[in-house]
Amino acid sequence: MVRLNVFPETEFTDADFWNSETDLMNAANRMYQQLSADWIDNRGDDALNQNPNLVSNGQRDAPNTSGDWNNRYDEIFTANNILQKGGKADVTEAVRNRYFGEARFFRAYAYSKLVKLYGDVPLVMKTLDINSPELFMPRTPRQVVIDSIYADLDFAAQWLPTRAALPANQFGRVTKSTALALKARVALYEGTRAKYHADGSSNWQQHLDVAIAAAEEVMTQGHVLFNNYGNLFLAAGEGNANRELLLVKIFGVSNTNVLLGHNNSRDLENGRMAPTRNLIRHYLYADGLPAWKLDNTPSSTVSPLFVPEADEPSYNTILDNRDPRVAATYFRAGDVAYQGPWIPRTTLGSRTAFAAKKGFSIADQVLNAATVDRILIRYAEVLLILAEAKFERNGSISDDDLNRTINQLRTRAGFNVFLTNAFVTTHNLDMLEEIRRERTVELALEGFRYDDLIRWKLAEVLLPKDMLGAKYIESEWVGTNQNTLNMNADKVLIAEPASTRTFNPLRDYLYPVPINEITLSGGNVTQNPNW
Amino acid sequence: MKIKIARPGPMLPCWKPVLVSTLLILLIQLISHPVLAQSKLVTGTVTNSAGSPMGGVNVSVKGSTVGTTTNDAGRFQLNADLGAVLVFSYAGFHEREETVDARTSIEVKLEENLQSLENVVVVGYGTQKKVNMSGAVAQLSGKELENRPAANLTGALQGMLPGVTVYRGSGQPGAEGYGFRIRGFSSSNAASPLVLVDGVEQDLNLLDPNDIASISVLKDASASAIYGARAASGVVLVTTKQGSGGQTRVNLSSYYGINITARQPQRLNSWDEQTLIDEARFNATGSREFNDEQREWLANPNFSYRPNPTADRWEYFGNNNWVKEGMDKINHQNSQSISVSGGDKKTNYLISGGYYRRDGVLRYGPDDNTRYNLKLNLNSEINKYLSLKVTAAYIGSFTRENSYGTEQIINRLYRSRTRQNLYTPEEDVTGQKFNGDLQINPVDIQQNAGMETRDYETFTGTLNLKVKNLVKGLTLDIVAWRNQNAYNMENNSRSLFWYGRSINTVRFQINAPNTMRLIKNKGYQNNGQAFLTYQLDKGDHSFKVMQGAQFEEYRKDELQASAQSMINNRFFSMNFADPLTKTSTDLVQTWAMASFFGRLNYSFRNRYIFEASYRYDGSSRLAPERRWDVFPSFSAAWRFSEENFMQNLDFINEAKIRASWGELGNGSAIGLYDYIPLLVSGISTSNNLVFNDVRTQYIYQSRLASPLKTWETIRQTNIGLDLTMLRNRLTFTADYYVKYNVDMLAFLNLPNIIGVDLPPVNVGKLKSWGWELDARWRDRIGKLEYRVGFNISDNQNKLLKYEGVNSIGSGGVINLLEGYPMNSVWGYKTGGYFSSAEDANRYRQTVQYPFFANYTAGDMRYLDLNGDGVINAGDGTPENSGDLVYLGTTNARYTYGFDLGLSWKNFDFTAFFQGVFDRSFLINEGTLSPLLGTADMPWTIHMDRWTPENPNAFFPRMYQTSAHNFRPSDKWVQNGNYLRLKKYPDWI
Repeated sequence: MVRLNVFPETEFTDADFWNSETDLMNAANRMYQQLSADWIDNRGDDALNQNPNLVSNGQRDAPNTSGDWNNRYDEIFTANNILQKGGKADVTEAVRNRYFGEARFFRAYAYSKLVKLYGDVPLVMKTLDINSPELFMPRTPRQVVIDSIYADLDFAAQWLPTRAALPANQFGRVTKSTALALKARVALYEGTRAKYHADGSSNWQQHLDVAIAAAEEVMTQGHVLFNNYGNLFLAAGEGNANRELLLVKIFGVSNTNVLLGHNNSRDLENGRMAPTRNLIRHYLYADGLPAWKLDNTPSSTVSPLFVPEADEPSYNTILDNRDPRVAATYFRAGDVAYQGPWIPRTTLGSRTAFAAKKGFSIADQVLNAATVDRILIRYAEVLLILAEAKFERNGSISDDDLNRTINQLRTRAGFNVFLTNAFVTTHNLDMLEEIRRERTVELALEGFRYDDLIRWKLAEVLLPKDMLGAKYIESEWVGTNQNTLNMNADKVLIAEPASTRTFNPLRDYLYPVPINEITLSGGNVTQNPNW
Repeated sequence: MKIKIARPGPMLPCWKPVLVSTLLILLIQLISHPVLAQSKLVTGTVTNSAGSPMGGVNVSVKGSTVGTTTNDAGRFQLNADLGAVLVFSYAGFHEREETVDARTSIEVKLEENLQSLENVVVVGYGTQKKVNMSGAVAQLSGKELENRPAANLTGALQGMLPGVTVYRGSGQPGAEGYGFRIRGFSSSNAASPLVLVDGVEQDLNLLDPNDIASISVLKDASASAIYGARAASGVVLVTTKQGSGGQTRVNLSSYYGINITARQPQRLNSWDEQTLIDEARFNATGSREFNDEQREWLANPNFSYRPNPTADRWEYFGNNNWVKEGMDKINHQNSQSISVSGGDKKTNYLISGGYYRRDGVLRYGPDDNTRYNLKLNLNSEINKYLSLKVTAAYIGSFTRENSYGTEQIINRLYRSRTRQNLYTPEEDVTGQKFNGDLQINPVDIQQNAGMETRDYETFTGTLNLKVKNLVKGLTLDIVAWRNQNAYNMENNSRSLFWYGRSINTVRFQINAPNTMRLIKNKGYQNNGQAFLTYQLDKGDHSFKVMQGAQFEEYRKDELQASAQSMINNRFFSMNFADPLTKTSTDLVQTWAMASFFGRLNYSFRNRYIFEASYRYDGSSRLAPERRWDVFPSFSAAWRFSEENFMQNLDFINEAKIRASWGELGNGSAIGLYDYIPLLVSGISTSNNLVFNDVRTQYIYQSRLASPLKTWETIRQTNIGLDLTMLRNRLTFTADYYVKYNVDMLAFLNLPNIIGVDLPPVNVGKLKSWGWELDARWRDRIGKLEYRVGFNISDNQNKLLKYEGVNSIGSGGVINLLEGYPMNSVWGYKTGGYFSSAEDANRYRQTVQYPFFANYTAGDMRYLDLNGDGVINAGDGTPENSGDLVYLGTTNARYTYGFDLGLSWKNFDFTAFFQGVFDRSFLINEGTLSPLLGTADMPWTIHMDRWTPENPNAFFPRMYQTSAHNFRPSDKWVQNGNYLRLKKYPDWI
């Protein structure tokens, strides 16, 4: 009966879509909406949340299901759907391939996150239906997934507009640089992981070559570092004019017109990214010398500016005479911070009593409505990738390369002691350690630490340590009852004692596959070792 | 009457607190008649059909309190006006009315009420004599509903009919969420009974109970399969009162009631509250919030605040009972209705109008619901062949609520610190009256946060043309109806700010910037149907055949809009809002259904009864190739009381056994366009995408289409027994049924690599079974008539197949679990609280709580049932549930009702009770656990908490921000049985 044929009038049918460039763009826009901002990461030794992180302290169990897995495959579905149906659109090859490039970029991004956590994962390259046999496929070997990521990113780099060619009103869409930067990131991860985990199935040198080539190519794209390290993470650093930005999750528009907001400033205030002393120890002193090695043991050469922790006279001592990035990343006692002057404390906020400053905006905090964009890939990382990959590949790095990369970052931060081969030799330092230190410091609290510890195979060393906080000075910690604090012999706060933390190197370098994925695949998907 | 108030929001979930009873019932029933003439003495005799005089018959003048009874010779006498109507009544006999006229003596013959023989029951597309029914149908007359002190018809049904369970979601006026289930669950998905009011699909909650003539509940497949894909959960046929011709009658009824909030959780005074807060903090963190001096200030009535200049705030040490300040103990409700009926032999009419209003629990309104009902029923015999029935009805329901939401406000009234004063101190310079320094002020919100109105209006018109007598026994019914409705929601949320000591410090704010939201829709449903009925009686054989067709279509158009930042905080109009913040969405919903249906009834000597019916339904909701399906049913009955061998059993008047089988469909769980792959417009969702500082479109498919989807099919088998015994004084009905939903829509459990939401598909299987029993006794002792009724029903269900969903998670109420009833409860077994730290330490030697390492005195002792040394959920399945055990289901297994009635002369006494038993009820941790969040407050009940001095407490020791003592367990599974007096005696 004809009158039974009633059709939706306010929903669009898939059959009527996929015709024009607008359709392709609207479909691709879904990927930007799905893009997760990844604000809070407490898995490393750099920042604690209000409660212990079970990944970080080794107490987690294999979950039944996990957003780390599911959300990535949701993103992959979106990309595959575009790639499968976008061919129908009546547009030029260049237009189609630009949006296909976006789709392949986001597919690669999703797979890179999956591989980092799980290793082998089912490689799904088309949309599946409830009857598809591929639903029950086993995990695809890591190298195959990585090759697919490279291929997707090569395609994306070929067809996406360059940064210069991207119209200002399209700021936020991925460019050739974004694809290459991601490729460099993935390749560095794969190369160093294979090297330090002695994974013979993967040619680490090749990956590092890929990383170097991709990073070098990004460096031809006209990117420059933003002029102010602290402002980079605030409203002043937003937008197309900031050529350091390669991938951002856009929030907007303003405190009074919140189309998409976040809570980062409140989260910082509430101690959801409470920096640890373990992190702060890595910063160089103003003379360019360290006090601590990368494994959080005292370094052989110790800066004369270093004050032993037992002797710190004040809460602020550890923040004094350091790399200027310290001042941009942490509040000092007495600084006007979240709600008036910062008074060291652990209640109702930071468990370490350190107060994160990077990205904190008082206007956002007051209005409870933050719209500053979240930076996901920035040019500084590309420079760090190049330096690290070169050194890892060759066992050495030229002063020229150091000047193109790390010393650029120091210059921008206003830190005028440069890293050179001579400096390292003179002070009996370790170049690799200094490169890694630079990365740790520059990218502090931006969600890199856990991944770095995993690929450097240092998680087993650093995660089971005491997570340390600030120095307890009774006169400064107004309102805190000393008896409620757990402190070490130096009167330094132990926010999480080593006794509650563990890392099993035979198990914890990979995430457990969600149990449902194993059972529902009929056992074709297998669990990672020792989970 | 019981009222649960709104469940107060997410912070106090599942708190089903309060019961409210109606205490005062004022009921005036006035029946008047037109012109009064002079009074005269009326005498007469009452006899039965055999001509014997009847003593003890009530004789009353209608609409007055004048009355008498007949003597043993059947004679009576009384004074009445000329034109007055005398009512003769006697238990077990039909009532008769006689008008006082010129006759000097009125002779009345009362007919015995052979209920079981003559009762006519409304069934789908027709009526049937109860005696000839082979299906399970329960019927209630309007008279039985009358005077029940519930202004809501669904609520009034509770306990009246075996197998019908009434539930409700909240006590909020206009949002009570009344619903009912017939014979328990038919599906784990949406499945509500089909309600037809004079054949028109309508919401039972909006009807005026005074308009009801009868309600038929079609319970088994035989009775309801004629409604095919709409009948899975049973069908309710409501018939409204019709005019009866003759004199013009005016009927007025007025009702006023109050609802009293009772057994409501009470707040603590501020020093007790602080004591518990400090205990909880100390236990959790080792330090207290307040010192002894501060706690003393709380108890000091002369010291309730002090300034804190460094923080630019006040510190409060008051004692403010928020619940008392913000909620009314007594809430009013009233209803009035009037009907006028009259006409002549050919044409009659009934016009009725109703008004109903109910106030909510908040102290400062608006917080109420008002409803208007208007109805016209017109019947006309046009000629020998044609009769016409016209119905026109209007219902308007108008709800007003605070823009912040009643639930949220109640939540706040239970969360705001008692030490926070209601008002700012006298020396406050911010100019604000209400204090919101510590937490937002819910009383201020009640008074100043703006209003939400929800107006729903519906118009119904029905035209019913009956053609008869063209051929003997043949009738043709042609029916057309249209229901048109309009909905209008406006929410004006005003900004409120609360300051510290100066306006430089904004402590809290809500609705900033101020916001306006609108929803407007209009919808209609058209129905055209025609059916032929042919009846043939030939000797011992009696046939009745019905065949019909129907087409139905529905459409709703909706527009939603919102905007922010009006030019001020008082005037709300889209025209004055910030254009950048305006949003709007539209929504069109459509469906259409076509059906063919038929029924055959056959009976032999009124003794062997057979019925078959079918419905062939086609729906726009299904893919064209899956669109049509047939729903058959068969039933048979044997009236063995008619057999010769029964003729000596005098005490049995009527006896019948029945059996039926049939298939029903459930279409309500199917979306409107599920078979078509559809795209979502991102800009119409609340998940915004921003590019270039503007909200940007994105389009995606959120869910796969399901082209193979079909109706859920429920197969139901029923056997029943009807008995009338002991001179028709005892009637008894019993039924047993089993129903299987064999194509239940369920979500496939597939690997998440599919990356998109799945549609439900027909893969589930639910079994639901039970029995029902209804018995009533009616007799008299001298002039005292009495009646006793009892009904009980049992229902159980089991989810036979749900595509392997077997997760019990970490316990609690599990809605869907294969192999178990719906809403099963899983929890730990407990062994009281640890009496001392040593006791706990000893236990810890062998048993660890992964969710709370350092349990100690006053904490819950969870039993390690599987002996693995860890209290956990195993792998979260029923097969390996760790230490969790099955603790029953929240579905009530038995529901029952009983009523008692006494009549003596003109006095009438009725009491009605309703109850359930065999039901578990899990109080959830958020409800029980004080200070689960530091902003959650303890109540008076929590004073009975474990302390060394109070080791036998009901509650464990106070502990903030951890619910380790409130894990689902046998301790917190409460018996959900109850028995309620639903109607108090009222004297007329």
